Amino acid sequence: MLKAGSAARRVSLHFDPPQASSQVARMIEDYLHAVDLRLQTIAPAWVGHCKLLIDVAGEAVYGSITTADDDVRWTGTITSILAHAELTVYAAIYNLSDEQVAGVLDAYLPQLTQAVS
Amino acid sequence: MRCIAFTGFLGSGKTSVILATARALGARGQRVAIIENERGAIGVDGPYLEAQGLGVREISDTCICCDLQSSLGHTVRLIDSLYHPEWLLLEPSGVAHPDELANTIEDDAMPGTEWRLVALLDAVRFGRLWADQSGLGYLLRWQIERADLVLLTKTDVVTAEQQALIEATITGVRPEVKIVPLARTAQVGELVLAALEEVAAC
Repeated sequence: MLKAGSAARRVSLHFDPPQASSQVARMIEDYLHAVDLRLQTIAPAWVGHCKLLIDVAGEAVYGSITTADDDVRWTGTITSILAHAELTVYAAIYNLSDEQVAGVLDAYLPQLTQAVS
Repeated sequence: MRCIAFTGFLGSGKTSVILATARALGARGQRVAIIENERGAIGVDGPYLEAQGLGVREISDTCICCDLQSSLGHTVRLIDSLYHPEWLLLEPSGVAHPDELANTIEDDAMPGTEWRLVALLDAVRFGRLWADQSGLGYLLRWQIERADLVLLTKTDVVTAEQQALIEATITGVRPEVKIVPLARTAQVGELVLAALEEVAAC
């Protein structure tokens, strides 16, 4: 049977001062690239789905990658200047365990939150 | 009730296509329900679709094709009795085996339902996955084998030559299957519905 390890994390971010949408988008892309590189140390040609959803006043937008060395693909656009955002990071990767995937996500969550504090 | 199961790898675009299809159906005045089969304690796709204003029921942390076959039939009957939708869109998890999913649908008799299996194949990853026939590639073959319709997603990021090669590979397995290339456009939902109508008319 096909296996995939998965994990998800939710984070509330407060931006002080408020951040332009382009800066938040870059922060998300940097996080996803960091996750990709970390995944590659475990599975050099990993396949799956790693996405970071951002909920801004009820508007859900997400960036995602689906394989090693992938470019971030966006669904929706962050349009406003942000003072606060709810983020959900989710990854499901074939042939890894839940623990391995969770470890990768957790490794960079402090970096994500520190980037805006 | 017309039921559409969208099979595909993790990250193949299932949630985006389901959202576009549901919106297109809504614009036609059709009632739509969605079943999400996600793994893990925190669902992501279900809440995302709900945030877009759609009705979603989740079957979480199990696989509908192999772990708990009765869940799918039970959930379909429950949704039908509660909401009477004209369309039901099913998103299996990315680990669902297309053949086992098809068998589950066939075995779990659901009166009043008409099922179609739609395979989402990601044009960007197709070549890499197809080459791995002893690994993930065999699932691609099963997706094609059991599909009533193939949606080739992310064609906006491959060349025309790459797309033609993928389509030739697909028709090499199933010469008669309809293939619809899907680039990132506002018409995705309408394209999917038109293709489903064409398949239903055959």
